[in-house]
Amino acid sequence: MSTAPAPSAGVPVLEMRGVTKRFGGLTAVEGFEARLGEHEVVGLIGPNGAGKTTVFNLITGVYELTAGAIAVRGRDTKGLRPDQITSLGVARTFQNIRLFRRMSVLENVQTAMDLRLGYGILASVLRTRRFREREREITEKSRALLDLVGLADDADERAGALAYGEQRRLEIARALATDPRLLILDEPAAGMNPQETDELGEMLHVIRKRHDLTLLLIEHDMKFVMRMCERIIVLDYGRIIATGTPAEVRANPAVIAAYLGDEE
Amino acid sequence: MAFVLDHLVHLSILVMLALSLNLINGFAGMFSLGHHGFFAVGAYAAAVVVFYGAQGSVPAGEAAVVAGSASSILWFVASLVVGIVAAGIFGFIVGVPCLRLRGDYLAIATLGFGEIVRILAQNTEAVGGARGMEVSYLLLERDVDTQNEYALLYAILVVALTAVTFVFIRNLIRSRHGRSLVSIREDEVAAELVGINLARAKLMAFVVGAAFAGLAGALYANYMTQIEPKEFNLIKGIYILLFVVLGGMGSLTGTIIAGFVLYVLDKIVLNLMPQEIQSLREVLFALILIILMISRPQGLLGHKELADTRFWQRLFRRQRGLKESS
Amino acid sequence: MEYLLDQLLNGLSLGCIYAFIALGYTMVYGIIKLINFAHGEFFMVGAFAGYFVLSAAGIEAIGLPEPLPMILAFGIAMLAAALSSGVLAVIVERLAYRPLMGSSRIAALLTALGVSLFLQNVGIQVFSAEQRGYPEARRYIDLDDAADYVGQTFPGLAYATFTVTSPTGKDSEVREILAGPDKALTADAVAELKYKKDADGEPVGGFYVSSPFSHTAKTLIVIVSLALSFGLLWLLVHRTQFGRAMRAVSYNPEAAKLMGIQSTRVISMTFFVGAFLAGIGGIIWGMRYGKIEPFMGFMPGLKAFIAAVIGGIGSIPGAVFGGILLGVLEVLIPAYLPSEYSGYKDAVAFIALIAILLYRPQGLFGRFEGEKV
Ligand SMILES: Nc1ncnc2c1ncn2[C@@H]1O[C@H](COP(=O)(O)OP(=O)(O)OP(=O)(O)O)[C@@H](O)[C@H]1O
Ligand SMILES: [Mg+2]
Repeated sequence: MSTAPAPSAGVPVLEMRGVTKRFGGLTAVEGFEARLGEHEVVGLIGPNGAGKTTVFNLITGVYELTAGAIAVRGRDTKGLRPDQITSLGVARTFQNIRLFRRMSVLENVQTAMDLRLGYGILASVLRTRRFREREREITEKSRALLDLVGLADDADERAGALAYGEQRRLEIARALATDPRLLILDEPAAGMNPQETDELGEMLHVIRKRHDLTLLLIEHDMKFVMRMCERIIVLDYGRIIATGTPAEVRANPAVIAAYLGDEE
Repeated sequence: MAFVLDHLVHLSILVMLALSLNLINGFAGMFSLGHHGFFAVGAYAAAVVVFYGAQGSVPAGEAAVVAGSASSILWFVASLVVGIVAAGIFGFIVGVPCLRLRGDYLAIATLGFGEIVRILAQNTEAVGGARGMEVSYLLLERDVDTQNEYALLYAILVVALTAVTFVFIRNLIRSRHGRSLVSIREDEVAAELVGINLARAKLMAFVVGAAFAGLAGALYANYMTQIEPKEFNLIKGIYILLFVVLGGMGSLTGTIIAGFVLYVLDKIVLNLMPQEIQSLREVLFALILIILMISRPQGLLGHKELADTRFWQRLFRRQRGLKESS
Repeated sequence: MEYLLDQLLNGLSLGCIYAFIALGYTMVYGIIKLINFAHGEFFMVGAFAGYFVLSAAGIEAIGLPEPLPMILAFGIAMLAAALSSGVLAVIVERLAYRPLMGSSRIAALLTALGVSLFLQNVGIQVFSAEQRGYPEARRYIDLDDAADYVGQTFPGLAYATFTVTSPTGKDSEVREILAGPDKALTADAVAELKYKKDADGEPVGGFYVSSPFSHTAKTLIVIVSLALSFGLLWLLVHRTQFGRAMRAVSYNPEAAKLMGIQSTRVISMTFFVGAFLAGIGGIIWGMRYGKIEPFMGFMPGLKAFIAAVIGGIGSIPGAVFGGILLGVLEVLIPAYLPSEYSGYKDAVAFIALIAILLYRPQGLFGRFEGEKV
């Protein structure tokens, strides 16, 4: 479980087929299909309540599927716990920021490396050499990640005390600490001003290159989505109403109808 | 002298119990109200070893166990080990169903567990039923002459083991295991999604916490001549919970300081008071709990350790730990 | 068969008492998400209030036919019990719980435990730790009026209590039955009573007529009063302004505030109503089991909370159903186990609790509230 299978050519990073989720009588997602190859950047858009976050929760195993199948790098995730799915190489951020608020910024990132850390209770208690080496190693890696998202100077700050935009970036650093192949971002630019949004876009480009990532992101800021993504999936009332390049999606009458009075 | 040492033994045992409770309640954020149950399991397991093992193995014709003999000391050590293991196993047994419970529900379920342990002890003749069990001294002959010597030996032992508990739990907290637990306390969903195995982390907290409570129980049983089921009641649980809460959930040094302060107030200052005030002990105890919760719910040190407080840093002019947030 | 029926009735009446307590637990939890451990103490205080009213005196006949005077006596005691619990709850909420609004759940839970301990121990200071026998609802007949009753039978028992001194000089209290359903009151018995003294050496001024109800009849009364209270509570919650406000605050406190609902008043009122019912439970407990003491509230309180959890916390029908189910289980299981296991009776509730939490954490009647991520 701890070592993810080697990515082989042709196997999609994420594959979803006929994915459906019902909450009691409410169908939040129905018949969702997607296939994400390596290094792709895909946007998931749709009006409020369309079911976007639910799709993320299904991918990461927070919710159980009602029907359909999800495979991460060729591995069916059925029956896996969220932490097991994470260890397959999926990491995410949250629409409502969920940091470990009373832990330090550095600890937030270190915690997410637990997965790859492998030393036992006795090593902790006796402070063995293995313990010290592994800890030094992950501290260095964590600091590098903080540097990447521009939080190097705040390593000892309490996570809850960071400014809003910083918290969003810390969530990204924490997600990267799990060493993912697929990073999924739930409204990463929400609450940011245009300048911050631009910086975020650049940062994501760098991160994607450096960490060899596939990105799937939900975003309401259309300009941001159109610029970032190669491909866009549009959800409305839980169903896919369009997919295609930004230009195709923008011209699609169904999309325009769904967004009428909502955006743009 | 013996008076001070006796108090030291009792206080150390309570502190050991409270430190192990802090691991579960303070760091892992699982609100357990049944810790006295693990204490009871440790005490009873040790008592059974002493009663059926040490006393039971005395050859027919000889009067009783000879305290201080090599075999007695071995039996003593065995009783501690069995106390730890038995409580650890109970920690696992209680922990498994508790994995599915959170917050108030966990509190009530663990409270129920504590009650069940007491009810079982009370109704099981093999462990003396409501009368409880006698535990003979193994470590050293204890009579009028050796009273002081015994108290000193036991106090050193208990204080040393409490220090071991402190270091064990502190080191555990400052490692990946501790980070996992605290992250679960802070946000369970996010913790699981960064790859923490919730079940394993929580069970670890329960088992380690219970095991140290079991050690405390075993030390207690060996020190007292007699244990009774009714001692292991919810009041005891709340008493040590008060150490944890007053000191700060998630602060080990806080637990020790609060334990010391409360114990001295309770057992020493109160005893110097007139009888009318002494009879109000429980009322005062409850009142302190209420006022404390209303006025300073995070306890004395919050989740900081003593060395991380501004007071300490000013005292020793050094900077470490987290920066102040506001 | 008869044994089963008896046990079933016993279980039912115990269950009804649990239900009375559980209702308050569930209402308070529903509205402020607090396990109010002190709720068991409200029950205890109700039992004591009833005790003092009932033992103060019997009710004078006021010319009503039997058994009305008895019911009246009981009714007054019950009202006193319910009101004193209710008022205490309002005070506790104001002083201890309201300052905690917005602080952590653990702080609130510990405060509730603290209040529970506090009330128990204040109870010991005020009432003493000793168990007391619970007086029955009874009617008092003054010796001056006794002549009117000579030659009559009574639906309950007519009895007098007085002190006799044994040949060794020791005083003891005796209870002499003067008349009953098939024994008429004689003039001789009344005449003799004039010479008896009570414990303080004063002449006994009269005699008592006890409740005419059999054990089974009492059980039925308990069940009927629960049904009535439940009905009234349902109306209160679903058909009144207060009920609407209460449901609004419990569903979404912020929105309720925006809509101009004064949540502090609603919360206070909820405590009052919940404790009012617990007070009724307290007096019924006293009558049914005959003994009260300051610690009496803790276990039944805890069991009632378990009942509320079994029924689905926040659900009023759930509390009633859970209470009754738990009462019946607690009586029936030990009744059919070999007697050496009867000591494990108290474990039944906790085992039931853990089982329900594992298999249906939202309780039998509760809605499941999954966390949105
Ligand atoms: N745990 C849940 N229980 C019940 N219903 C849920 C749950 N999670 C989501 N829903 C419902 O599913 C639907 C889709 O919600 P979702 O959060 O996926 O929308 P979204 O597209 O992310 O919207 P937004 O843009 O507002 O974030 C909504 O109607 C929501 O109320
Ligand atoms: Mg969303």
